[in-house]
Amino acid sequence: MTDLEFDPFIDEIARELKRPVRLDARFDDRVMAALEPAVIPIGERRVKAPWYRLSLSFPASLGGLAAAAAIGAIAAVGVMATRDSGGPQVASTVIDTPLVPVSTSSGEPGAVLRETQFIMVAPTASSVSVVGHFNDWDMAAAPMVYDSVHGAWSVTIPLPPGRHEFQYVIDGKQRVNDPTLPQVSSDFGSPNSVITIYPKE
Amino acid sequence: MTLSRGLPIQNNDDATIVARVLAGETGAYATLVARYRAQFSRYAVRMLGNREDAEEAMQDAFVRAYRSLASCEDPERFGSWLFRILANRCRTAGTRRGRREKTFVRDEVALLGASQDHPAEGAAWREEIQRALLQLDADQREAFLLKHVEDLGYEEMSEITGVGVSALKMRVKRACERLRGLLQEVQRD
Repeated sequence: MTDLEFDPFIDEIARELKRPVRLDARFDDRVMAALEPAVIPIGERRVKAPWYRLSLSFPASLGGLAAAAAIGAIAAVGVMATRDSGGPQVASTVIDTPLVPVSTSSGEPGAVLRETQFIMVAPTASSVSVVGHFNDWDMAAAPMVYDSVHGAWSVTIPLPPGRHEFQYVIDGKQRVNDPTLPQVSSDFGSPNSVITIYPKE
Repeated sequence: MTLSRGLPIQNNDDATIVARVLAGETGAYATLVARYRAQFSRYAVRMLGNREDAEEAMQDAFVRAYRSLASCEDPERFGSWLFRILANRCRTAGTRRGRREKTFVRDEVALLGASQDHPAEGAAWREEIQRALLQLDADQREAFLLKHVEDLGYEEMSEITGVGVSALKMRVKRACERLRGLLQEVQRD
């Protein structure tokens, strides 16, 4: 059937399927309740501005990030804030150079890793770590180091090219994603951030 | 992109509400939830075949949209952006629960299309339609719903799904053929 053809049989089916459906009367309340511990963006909004311009103003003062920006190898930077801890929390994921030729965890010799910097501004947090496929989701594997000047936690992890799912974990319990990166559902149904590391040409 | 005659997914007021939420007025988001809940729930229920999964996908979509609100580049078209997120969630949920989709519960379908002024015969026909819909491949079901139920144009469908127009037309065509085959067989019985 082309776009212009009218098919009465298909139209009848579509008419039945267009009937409104009912959701649970508490659906809206459930959604709003789910937002409370969620992450919302902060900062001045610039409509149609690229996301990196929106976010760079905050973390660019961080030493590692500034260096990364100078090199021009930033691949992704996200900004987010939580409402539950009294202070803003900003997450960034930065791919930095130089390349580090080492063996991968799979034992592949000579594979090239890329330094990937994770930053979370969470001045009220007691601990922050990055968990992902690359460290078997082990909260102890990549503890972030706190910078009291900026209220920021950071860690740099060499990652091989490919797609990597990860999350930030605050105080060992609150899991936070980078909203500017793609997300996929984990096997447990919760979303994970995905960063793609490309081999440098 | 040409707006369709289907989903009213552009609302100038959305940009104002988005700005309020971004400024920290979380409660304003309830307006967006209420505005798009009814429109999008039909798609989610038809796509996933039951209300429980549809509500889960919708809640997930609303929460993800909220968390990523700063990345919504055109807040006047928040609805379109949200719908893309929902369509993606439905796709993911459908993949995860593909096997479960095939198991169909009669009462659930009757509830989905509940209408007091329709006889039992009408409910049975609606059930057969939904059953046939769920027998389609997810890609075909998605294309059929977007085209014939949500009345989207192919360009808009392409933007939502990331699939080319030609491929979408083929999916719709095959979905129509399959539905016709399945449902005309039921009518003959």
